[in-house]
Amino acid sequence: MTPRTPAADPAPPRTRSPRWQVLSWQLIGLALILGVWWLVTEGLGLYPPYVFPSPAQVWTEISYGLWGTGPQDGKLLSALAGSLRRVLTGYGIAVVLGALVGLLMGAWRPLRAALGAYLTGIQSVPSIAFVPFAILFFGLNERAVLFVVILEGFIPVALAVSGALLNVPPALRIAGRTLGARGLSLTTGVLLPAALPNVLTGLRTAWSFAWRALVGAELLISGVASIGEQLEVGRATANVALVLASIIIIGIIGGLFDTLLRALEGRVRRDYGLEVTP
Amino acid sequence: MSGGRSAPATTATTPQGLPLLLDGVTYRYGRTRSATAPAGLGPLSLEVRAGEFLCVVGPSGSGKSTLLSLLAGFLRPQAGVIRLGDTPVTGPDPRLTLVQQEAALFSWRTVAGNVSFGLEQRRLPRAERDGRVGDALRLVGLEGYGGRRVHELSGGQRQRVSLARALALQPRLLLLDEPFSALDDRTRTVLADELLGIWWSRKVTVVFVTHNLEEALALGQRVVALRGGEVALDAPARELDVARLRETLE
Ligand SMILES: Nc1ncnc2c1ncn2[C@@H]1O[C@H](COP(=O)(O)OP(=O)(O)OP(=O)(O)O)[C@@H](O)[C@H]1O
Ligand SMILES: [Mg+2]
Repeated sequence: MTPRTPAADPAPPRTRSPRWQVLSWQLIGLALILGVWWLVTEGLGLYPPYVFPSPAQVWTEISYGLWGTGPQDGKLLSALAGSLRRVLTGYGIAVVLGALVGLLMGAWRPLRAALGAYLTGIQSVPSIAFVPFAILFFGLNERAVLFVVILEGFIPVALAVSGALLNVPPALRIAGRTLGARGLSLTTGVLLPAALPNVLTGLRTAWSFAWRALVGAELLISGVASIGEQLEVGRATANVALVLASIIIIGIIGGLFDTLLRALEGRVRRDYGLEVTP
Repeated sequence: MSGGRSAPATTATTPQGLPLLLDGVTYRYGRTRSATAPAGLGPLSLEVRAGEFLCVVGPSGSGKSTLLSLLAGFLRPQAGVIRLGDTPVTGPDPRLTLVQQEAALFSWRTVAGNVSFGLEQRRLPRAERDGRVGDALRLVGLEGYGGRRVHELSGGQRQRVSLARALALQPRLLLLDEPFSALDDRTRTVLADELLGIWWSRKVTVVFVTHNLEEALALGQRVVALRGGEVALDAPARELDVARLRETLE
């Protein structure tokens, strides 16, 4: 409406550093970590390779494990594929289940009062503690792993969805009702969209819980090709390089998904005007 | 209504205001009647003519918002009846719309999306929705803002969207709860003028709550002053002045 002169435009805020700057700092950090690691292993020779292998040795393990072509190679790749399939299945089921339970708890306060504290309690038990039960109940198989992943993943989703629904500002609820929304249309048209940013935060928490639970369960439940099993194989064969390689892959996959979900969350928060856009 | 995209918001197609009647309306907060008189409203009897612009004033806690919640059907009176036209108000009612103090806009929708929300609830066809959204935005001076995100608006513009959202539904009773109280004097005056223009062209019945006495006298044809949940004064605005109102409310 008001005419703008380019000269009058305020300078863009400088609080946020540009993306490439962040990236370059991250690369410097990586170089530092690798440098120290190299120094204590190959550089100064403080530890023998079979106790603490160098970055190069771990890299060799990773490259043979992921894209090597020899008869013994490629095990990490198939392990990773198995783990990813399992965690995505488990996480998917956990999200659907958690959303349903969360919706019910959000719609009906007594249910949240009845279950909320116990769900929080279960959440505070380390996932690995459920593995023995899962093994006894389901046997040493994939279903036992899925059980633990779903259990760990669904609780944060249920708590986030119900909490977010109950925290929708009353004014929005009133606005929806005075504009003619009620029952289901109020839920889908006002409450859920209003709750979305907090639900997404819950989905991110659920991801990290599910991924940790997966690795823990796989470590104990042998016989299914998995990244957790590679950890156990590495330990049994005293292959420290394989153990470290597995840990690095677990970290990278976990971080990648987290970044993905974080990006989605940030996008929604900007759309909602919850974040200052640079 | 055939309702084309170009259908103008003329008084010919817009349903006009309905008369409002309150008879012995009482509402008390809290479960039981305790020894100390519980907060609330009434018994209150009031008649608002079709197309009248009524302002309700009163100190904080005098029951203004409670009155609007009752009128809007969010609270059910424990005694007495509220009639809009020929039928009682028993819950959220499509014939009336409430505009709240803070513009409670839907931040996940655009400006146009906010205005069309209520029309979508009524399952109006797309073409008619678009027409009404355009009309409502034009009416509040936000033509061309339809595609904006809500957080890209100023406080005054938000309040306009909130008003447009209510007007698009063509209510026959418009309830406003201190809609301009968060705004500066200048914006407040501009919006108040616009509201008067809309009221004039649409012949809608308006109940406007404010604690600003000057605003009440400037806008209302009639002013009702509440004190402790009861009517302390009810008179045509032209017979009142700020001093008299202030005296009543003390
Ligand atoms: N949800 C509630 N539960 C209990 N008491 C309430 C509730 N809402 C309002 N009250 C009480 O009812 C009385 C009237 O409140 P109301 O909100 O209608 O006042 P108001 O005139 O709108 O005040 P203000 O100008 O501050 O908005 C007050 O004493 C208030 O404390
Ligand atoms: Mg109030």
